[in-house]
Amino acid sequence: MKPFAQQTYYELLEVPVTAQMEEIHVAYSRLMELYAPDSIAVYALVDADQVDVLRARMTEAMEILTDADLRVEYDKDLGLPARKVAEAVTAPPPVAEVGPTQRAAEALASAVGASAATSPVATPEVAGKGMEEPEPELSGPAAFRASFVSGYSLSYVTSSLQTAPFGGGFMGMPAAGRMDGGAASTVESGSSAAPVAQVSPKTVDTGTEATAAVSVAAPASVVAEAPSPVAAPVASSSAAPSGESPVVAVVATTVQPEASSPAASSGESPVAASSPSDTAGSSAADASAEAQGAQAPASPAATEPEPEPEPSVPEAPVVAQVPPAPSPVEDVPVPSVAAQPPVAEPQPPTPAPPSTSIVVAPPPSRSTGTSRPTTSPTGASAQTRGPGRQLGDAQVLAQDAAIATAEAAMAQVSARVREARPRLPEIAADAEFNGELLRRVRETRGFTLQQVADRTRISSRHLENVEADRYTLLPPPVYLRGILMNLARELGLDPLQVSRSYLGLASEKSGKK
Amino acid sequence: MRLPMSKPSRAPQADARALGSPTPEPVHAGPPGLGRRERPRRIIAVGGGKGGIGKSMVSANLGVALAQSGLNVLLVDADLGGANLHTCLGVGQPEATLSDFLRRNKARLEDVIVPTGVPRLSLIAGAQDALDAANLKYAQKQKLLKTLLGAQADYLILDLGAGTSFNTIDFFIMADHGLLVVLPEPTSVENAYRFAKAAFFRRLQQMEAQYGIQDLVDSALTTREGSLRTLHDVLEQVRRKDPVGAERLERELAAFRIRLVVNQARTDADLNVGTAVASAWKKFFGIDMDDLGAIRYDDEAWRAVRKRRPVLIERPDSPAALAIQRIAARLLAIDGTPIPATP
Repeated sequence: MKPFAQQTYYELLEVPVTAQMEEIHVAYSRLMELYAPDSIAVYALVDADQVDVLRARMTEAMEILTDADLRVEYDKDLGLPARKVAEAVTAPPPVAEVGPTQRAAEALASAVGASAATSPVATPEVAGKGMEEPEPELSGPAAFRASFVSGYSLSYVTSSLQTAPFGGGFMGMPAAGRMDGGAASTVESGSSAAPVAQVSPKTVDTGTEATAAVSVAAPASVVAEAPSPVAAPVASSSAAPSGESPVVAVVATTVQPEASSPAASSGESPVAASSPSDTAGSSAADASAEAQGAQAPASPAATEPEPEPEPSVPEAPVVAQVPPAPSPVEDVPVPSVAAQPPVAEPQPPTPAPPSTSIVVAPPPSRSTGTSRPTTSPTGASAQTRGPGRQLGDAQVLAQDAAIATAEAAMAQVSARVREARPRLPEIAADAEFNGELLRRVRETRGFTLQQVADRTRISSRHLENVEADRYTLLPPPVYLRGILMNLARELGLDPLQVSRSYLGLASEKSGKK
Repeated sequence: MRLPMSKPSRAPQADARALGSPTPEPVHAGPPGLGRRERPRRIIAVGGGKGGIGKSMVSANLGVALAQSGLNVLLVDADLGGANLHTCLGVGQPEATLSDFLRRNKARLEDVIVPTGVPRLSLIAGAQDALDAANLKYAQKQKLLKTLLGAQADYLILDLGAGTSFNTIDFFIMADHGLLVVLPEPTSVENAYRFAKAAFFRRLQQMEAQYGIQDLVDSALTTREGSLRTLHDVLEQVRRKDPVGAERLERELAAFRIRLVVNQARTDADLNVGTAVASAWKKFFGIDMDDLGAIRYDDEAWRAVRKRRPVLIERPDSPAALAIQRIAARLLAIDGTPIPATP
């Protein structure tokens, strides 16, 4: 007998620990149906909130378990044998995962979103492009995520970052090799508590590599920006990278993708694309320089409408993809890895010629990988190219679309978050519970007046009057007390305190009148 | 003689026995406290909380199905306030009823058993006219429970009334199989959950003396917004005080299995309500429920009631009758009885 709050993700979804992606998704959709608010099976079984909490937990479980990296991480925590890693890695590649990936992306997006929103780096760029709106929303989900998946989301980011550098390094390497690399990177970063911190080492590596190749270094400024959003970890990383554009680019990209990622993978790619371009433009000529330098040859190709320049224009795609890279990052790293092979192939040849290109290339490779799985390959690639290079209308349009989707996704996520973890405003111990405060609490809880009325069976007219402090219209104190107690209970406040305080106010005010 | 384990303070001896020996005893082994009298091999209680969901119909037809399988079955109409099992079986107004047994101290249970016309199936009709028939006194209930445990039959089927009064619940939790009849409707599901919760808390209450958790159980049963809403909470509290006791408590609670029967399923989706309910119940309460299967909504069943005949006899090939036979077979399988071919 284990309350569901203590169940593992596997137990929650009622799948064996060896379950494949497909199985997890089937189980998830079955359970979502079973625990749907209108499902007869849960009617009157427990409080509606409990069902909501359960659903949130299940979604969380699904997000973690369908993200290869997160699952590996989670399994490690559970003490499951490592062999599953292999399974997980192999599992993601299938197309079926697109759905999961997107979800994961969403989840992560929220987590990242927080950082992104806060982070100046992502924001400025985004703002420039019109992403401002999504940002605020992101903060909500981000907070949610932070509390929710904290460890995992962070680790996830890290790993993705890791893989990215590695991918760059090992373009042609098999997935297994990359995984190892990822693991190694984690180990290295292990010392730093925050995932972001972990990222930094990797980024540094990449940076170094990249730096070697690309010597453009406006990064310093970029880095500075990055630290604030990301917090300490980034700072550390920034120190290491010192002024390497590649590093900056990576950081920025990652952050941004996260922000955009909520929208869904499809939305992400455009956003990502824009972000890179932004980065390039705003942060420094570094990114752009790199891109340009590397892409210079490719850029023409990219500009061209041709959707699939893969072989011939490896670098160009790379540049274009750099922005997308973030989006891939958000998605499961594993998928990206899987996807990479194709991309990587074209690149391998390229790496040798331009050192810069190499640096840049790694991120792009990922991005390409991700963008493809999520959206249709052609569309994604086309989008990426457009925004990245042209900086024209197409870009804006793409961004708008991305923003729209991102907003929708974020709204969803934040709604869920609110349900799962309502945050109370700070209430002083001796606070007076007047209608205004009660209303604020209710709104913080995310309840509408009608919802509260339905649950407490108090008529919404009374509730309105309570919240508006229309003391004279309220029923006699005996009844009012009951109303207040119920309301307070529903809002998670201390019924006695609320009723005493409110009744005190009511008698005082109505007496004066 | 008392069993070492659960002798509940307020519980009838029957409960003590039922709780004390989760492992099935050898066939026909008499319970320690009941002399040489034989005990029914298995007790099936049919409840459901809500009225009009087919408890009596399920009881009667299940009785017929088991009797047709060659087992001796005794049906008891424990719906003291609204007895009508005899009508389901086509037995006229019975001369002797449960209330005769309860009123006259000297009467034996055998004196109120009436035949049903179905071989191997006999009936104890419910109380009829007495004004307070439904308000069983504690001593009377004890007597009834004890006597029922000593009844001779392969299967004792208790047809319970609606509601979650202790008179109903106590019969339910003494059974080996607590059949919970549910209609695929919110009202019925709601009452079924309430009934199941009441059953488990009642069981807890009966075990409380042993575990020293009176306060906890009482508060769990009475609080409106209290923290002790689920069995998990109760167990958690007990565990804090007495981890070993909590283990046993948990085991004993889990030993009591509720088995679901979905009645009047009209759509294919309705057929799966039992599984869904069992799954949700387990998720939140951590206790297994079995889904015995669904009975299709069937006009034949309704017509059979109009004719005052069990549908299993009236129309043995109707979907409802077939479903009941499947349920009976499943019960027999659970009990490890070889399933005789149904005639």
